[in-house]
Amino acid sequence: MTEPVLEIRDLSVHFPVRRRGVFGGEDGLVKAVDGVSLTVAREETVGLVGESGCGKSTLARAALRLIEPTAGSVRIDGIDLTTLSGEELRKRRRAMQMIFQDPYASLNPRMTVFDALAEPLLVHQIVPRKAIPGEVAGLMAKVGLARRYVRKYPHEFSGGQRQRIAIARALALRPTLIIADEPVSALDVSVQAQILNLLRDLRRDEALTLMLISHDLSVVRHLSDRIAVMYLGKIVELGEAEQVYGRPQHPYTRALISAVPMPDPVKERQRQRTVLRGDPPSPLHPPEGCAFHPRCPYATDACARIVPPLETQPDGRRTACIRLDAIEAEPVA
Amino acid sequence: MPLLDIDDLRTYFHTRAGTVRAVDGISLHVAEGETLGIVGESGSGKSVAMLSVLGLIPQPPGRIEAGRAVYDGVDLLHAPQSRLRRIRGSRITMIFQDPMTSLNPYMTIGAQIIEPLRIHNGASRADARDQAVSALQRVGIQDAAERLRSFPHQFSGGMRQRVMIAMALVTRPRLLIADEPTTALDVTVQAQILDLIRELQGSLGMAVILITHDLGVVAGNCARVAVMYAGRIVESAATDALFATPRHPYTQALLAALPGARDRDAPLESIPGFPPDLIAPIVGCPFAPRCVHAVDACRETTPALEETAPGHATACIRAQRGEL
Repeated sequence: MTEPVLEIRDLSVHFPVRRRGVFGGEDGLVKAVDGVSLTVAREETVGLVGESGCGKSTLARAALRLIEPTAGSVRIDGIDLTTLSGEELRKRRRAMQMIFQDPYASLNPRMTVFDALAEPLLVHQIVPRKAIPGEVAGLMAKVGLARRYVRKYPHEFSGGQRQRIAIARALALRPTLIIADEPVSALDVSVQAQILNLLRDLRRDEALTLMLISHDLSVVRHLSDRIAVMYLGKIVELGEAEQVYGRPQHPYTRALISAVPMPDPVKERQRQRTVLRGDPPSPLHPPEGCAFHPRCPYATDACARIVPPLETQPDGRRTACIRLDAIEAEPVA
Repeated sequence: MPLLDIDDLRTYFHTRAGTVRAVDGISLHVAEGETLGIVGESGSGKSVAMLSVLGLIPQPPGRIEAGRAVYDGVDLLHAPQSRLRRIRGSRITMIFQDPMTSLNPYMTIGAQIIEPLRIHNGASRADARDQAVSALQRVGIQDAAERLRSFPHQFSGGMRQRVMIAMALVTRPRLLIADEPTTALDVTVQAQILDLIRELQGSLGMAVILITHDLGVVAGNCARVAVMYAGRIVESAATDALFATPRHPYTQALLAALPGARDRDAPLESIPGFPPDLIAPIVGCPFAPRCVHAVDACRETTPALEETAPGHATACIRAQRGEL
């Protein structure tokens, strides 16, 4: 593997929670991200999956220092962002751009497409002022927006087109890395496919490095080289996309994959599903030991005591589960 | 005889910008105990159609322009309010995507479950309470008797959806309309809720209309499916037949657009463009501008929903002619 573009090491984000009530109440600590290490190599796409509240978006925001990490380091192109401040931070942060779920919320409703794309070029002096119209036209072409739309406002576009504008805006700064946080979750299936294809083409043509965050495993699998699965602030499984999706090891990954309904009635009837008990736990009161043990069909007493380390497996992936041998031996659905 | 028979339903919204033909002539029926899926993308009219049947469309700006929806010999679209009120919330109930907007935040769960029993079934307070406890137990809520005193905010998203289902089923309806019941939930919780609906349907023997945008949810849960596009039904068939041999180009494209349906290294089949503006009158097939198979005739004649195989109807003139 080439040298990593992004190197997240032991990153933690803890939010203090104050409870004020008639009886005082105790202060709590939500460990939204708890000691996560993850690297993204040049031109690689890493998918980050997990259910709501697992910390995947917090991890991305902390990587950009949009949220201040509690501990750990984030290196982009070898430079530790967590030690920088002011002008230097802004300059380095430019190398990472983010695309959000709702492009309507992330675009200024009073700026035309031209303004939205010209602004970052101007602010960061990417190209000389008189080259801006040409650069804007080039960006629009890259994301498949017709040139005649250049003077239109966000409300005049459909959701998919707005997401194209948001992607063009991210590309404007020629970033080393793009973090896409649920980029297609708000879109209809037919439009979702357009945006996924666009990201795919850009990855190839622009040599993009991408971190793709989604709750939808099929979306992540479609684009990612590697997949990281998060549960309650920690990575529980990390490996090649086909390993994780095709032969999941961690009981949570197994359950997650088996819970996704497949658009095939025959397969749906035949397959054995692992339906989990209960809801995801409250991050304010995480279970002792392995955070997944109260919902895990394979859990033993030891799981309630031991925090499983993320260990490298024979096939190269990393999995945090102390029961792997037993699970592999008896392949219960 | 079908339990609910909808014929040529048209619901338009009269807005300042023009008339939006949200539902433009749909006919469908659901039999006793059957699960019918209605799939479509946002704005296809799937929710508006069902809200129209239950008289829940705000009028104005909405107006039911035409059609009939016959339940038990009563045309729900033209029944007096008093008659409708006896059926809605009792014989036909509905659950929605976001339980928090349907549950009253100021009322305890218990009070909300008991209300329909007192109103519709005339149950005594004690009797209604017992029924509420068993309704909560049936949807898998622990310590049901205790939980009756809880407020909605004290439940998680999945639990709230369970409470909604308990409320919808407490009067033992013959038809449950579930509008994207699991869209707001995490996948692992979605699996639990869908299992629950299926299980309860079996034990209570009710029919279910499941409205969803997720073809996966349809595949695992419905016996028959109707696919909606631009306010119309473009294809309807038994679930197996629809997935095995989709005949309408829109259904075909929708299935091909799903990630995971194809080889990972192949690009997804995206559908060019986007759904039509429902304010402008649509001439011809509403899907024609995005359809790879469209010919001149598609842009001129409006295709009717006709059987192309037994039990398999398609609103596409080329499929009807056997050209696709």
